Amino acid sequence: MLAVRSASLGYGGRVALHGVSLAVAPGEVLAVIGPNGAGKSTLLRLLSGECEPEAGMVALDDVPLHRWNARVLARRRAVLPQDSHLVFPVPVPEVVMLGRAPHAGRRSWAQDTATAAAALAETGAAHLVARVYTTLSGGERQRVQLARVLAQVWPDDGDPAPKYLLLDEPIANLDPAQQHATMRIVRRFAERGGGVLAIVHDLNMAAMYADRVGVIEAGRVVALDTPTRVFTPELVRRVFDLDVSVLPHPARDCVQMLPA
Amino acid sequence: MSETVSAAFALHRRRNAAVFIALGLLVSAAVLLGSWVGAAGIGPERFLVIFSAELGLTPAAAVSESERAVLLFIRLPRVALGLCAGAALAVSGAVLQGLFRNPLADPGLIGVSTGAALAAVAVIVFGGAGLAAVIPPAYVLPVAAFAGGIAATVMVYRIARRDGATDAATLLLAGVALNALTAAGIGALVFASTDQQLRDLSFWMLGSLGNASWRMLTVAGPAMIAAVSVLLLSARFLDAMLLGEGEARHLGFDVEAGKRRVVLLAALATGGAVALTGVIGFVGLVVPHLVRLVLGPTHRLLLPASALLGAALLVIADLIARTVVLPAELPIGIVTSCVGGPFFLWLLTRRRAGTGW
Repeated sequence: MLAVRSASLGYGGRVALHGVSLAVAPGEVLAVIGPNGAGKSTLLRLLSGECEPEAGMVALDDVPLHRWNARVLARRRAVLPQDSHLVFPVPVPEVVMLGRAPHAGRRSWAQDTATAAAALAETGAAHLVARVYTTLSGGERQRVQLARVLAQVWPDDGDPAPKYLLLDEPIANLDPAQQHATMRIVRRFAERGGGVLAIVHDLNMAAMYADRVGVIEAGRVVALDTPTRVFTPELVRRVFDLDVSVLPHPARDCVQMLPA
Repeated sequence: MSETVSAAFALHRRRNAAVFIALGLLVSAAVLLGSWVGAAGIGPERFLVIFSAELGLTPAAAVSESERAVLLFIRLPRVALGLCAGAALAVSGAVLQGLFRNPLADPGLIGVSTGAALAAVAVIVFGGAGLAAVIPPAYVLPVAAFAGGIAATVMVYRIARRDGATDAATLLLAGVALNALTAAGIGALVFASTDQQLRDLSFWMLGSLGNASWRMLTVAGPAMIAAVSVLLLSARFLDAMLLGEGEARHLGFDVEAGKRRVVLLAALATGGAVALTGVIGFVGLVVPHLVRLVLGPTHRLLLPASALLGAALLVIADLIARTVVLPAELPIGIVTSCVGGPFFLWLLTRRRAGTGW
């Protein structure tokens, strides 16, 4: 269980999060939605250990993050940032192999490359194996980066403890087919026992793929439940200032929203 | 699928092995040429004769004392210094380019070269009498230069440090500012110097391996070799830093400690080199680029290959510097800049947009 408990944090006098509590359980996909500036990214930074709360705590398996050894923690959770700053022409396999860095010395080179290969295949990027990162398109880069974080917390590791993925807008720059492909990868990760927290802007994607949805508004969690319960016309109007009709998906067991 | 990736890795491995063998041959060739060629030619045959005499395999009578002295006490220390300094400068350049994710970084950027130069120039102009009281006179200039280089780097690092974190961009800019200040100090000292001092100064500012001696190398050599060795072990950390600081942290690296370690070791390696040779430009900037063209930016390969290429190139540059205008000697910095400058421009023009470095 990766959990934030009544955590508060501010930047330069402005409070970004007020007593937020939220936990990602193994086996679930938790989508975090909210307007720009609501505190979603700050929440992700707390959960990744990038910053510490001023009050409250963030813990993995009930041990506060700052008490975890950095490498051991890195074997338990991976973070996919919104965009990457890689400007050197690193070959694609090397990028994915960086995900295996926290496992250095624990498994053989052959095992690590096999994991890297499996992660590349999982993200549908196997054909990019001979390419150099800087020559890839935005969508291809995103898939390679996703393969890197998947390789970092690949389930088949001899360590039965559940792994976690923290994704900051993983589908923001992808075409529609890619968006769904990425969300299916995320779901498969959860079905194998991993826990996922993803910041998502597209409400319908959250409704379709998340087990639970957390809504953040002005630094507070204002709703945290299954998509069907969270997505009501009232909530969407109040939080996003948007009038929608909420309809059941004709073929799937979920709701979808249309602008009213 | 797994086979494809493994095959891709295996292919890289074979090519990489070939590159390292070629670099090893280049270093050997540089060492042999550096020992054979010079004002007093020694040549392969005399080289073998002297060595077998040294090892007691053949009678020492076959070797003249002057020949022996030239090889053992003039040529070889120069070659050894060239190898150490070349490797130190090239590896420092490579690690700083990686750390700052900036392909234009070179060892001078963290202030170590100009800091060392300012201290050396001050010693030349004001005389090192005070220092000479505590350390042997021959060591005064290198020790002052080394201390100046490290002091400048520590200052740059302190300036860039805020709330326990060091911002890479601030570190670069602080280096630029401190370099400008140091250059002003050097300028003022040059203005105040006598003609003889000016000759010493210009030689020091443009670099030379002419002061190489085993005595100097026993002090600075191990420091450079140790710093370079530990830097080679930071390859994975530097690879992760190419992704970004946040990503490196999420991969379990202690980013602050890593940055501090890399900057200080680069300063130690460069400081050791600059203390003995003066300021030698372009090696730290160009060598890593040259290696990246062939092996890519992965530090596991880039760092050792840069060490080998830097070592070989500096020995060859020194060979050119001391033979091209016989009986005089050219400052080595002129040679490296003459070759490195145009090469770097060529590199800039051939670089296609969007393909990165």
